[in-house]
Amino acid sequence: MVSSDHARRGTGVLPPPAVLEALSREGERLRRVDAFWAAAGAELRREYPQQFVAVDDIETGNVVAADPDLLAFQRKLTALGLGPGDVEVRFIRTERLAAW
Amino acid sequence: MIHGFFDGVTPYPFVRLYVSIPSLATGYRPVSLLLDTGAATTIIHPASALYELAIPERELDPSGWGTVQRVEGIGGATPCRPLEASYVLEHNDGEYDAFEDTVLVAAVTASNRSAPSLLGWNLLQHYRLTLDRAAGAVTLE
Repeated sequence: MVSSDHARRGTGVLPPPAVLEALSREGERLRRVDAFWAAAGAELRREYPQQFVAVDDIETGNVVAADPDLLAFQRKLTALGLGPGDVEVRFIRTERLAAW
Repeated sequence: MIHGFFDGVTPYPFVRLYVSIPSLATGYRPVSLLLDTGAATTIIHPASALYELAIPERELDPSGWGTVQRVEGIGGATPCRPLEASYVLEHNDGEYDAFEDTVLVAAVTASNRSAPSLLGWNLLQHYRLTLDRAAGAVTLE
């Protein structure tokens, strides 16, 4: 729901209303994706701890690629012909962050 | 009020906002950022760059960058590319905040491959933060 053409706070200019509407819809879609990851969390943490996981359908939870290393994971997706818009990707974090 | 969330297993607070980096032609895309009061500037780490912002992997190679800023962290110095970005944050009542500011896009290093992206003080300074993990509350007001 876009209720204003002006930012409530900040120095930036808001994108056009059509863009905001699209972002709002994307936000709603992501809340469903979040719900999938939350529901599947325990199983994924058992099967893929500290790994990147790609799912091509959140209704079925079909895992198409997994790897603990980002670049190896990216190579797997590329080999499958999959890009960021084709799959949902999460890092299944089971350990606290040490450093970055 | 802007609502964030806690990571389900680890005790880290996140907020999702929309970021556009015109020089990388990303358009506005949603990115989940860890609230990091130790970060001066918002940093996009490689996993977010690839899968949330859909930045091509070749853009994360510092050999092709004109300007490189080295950011010191616990894991050592990380080469980062400073770029202009537009940030949009959505309030729970449907209104928005908008900021034009710098973002640092990090190169892929051994220590940051699984690191979350970080929401730094360039944006945090505008908000009052409330963090209460027991209540599951992360809010920016």
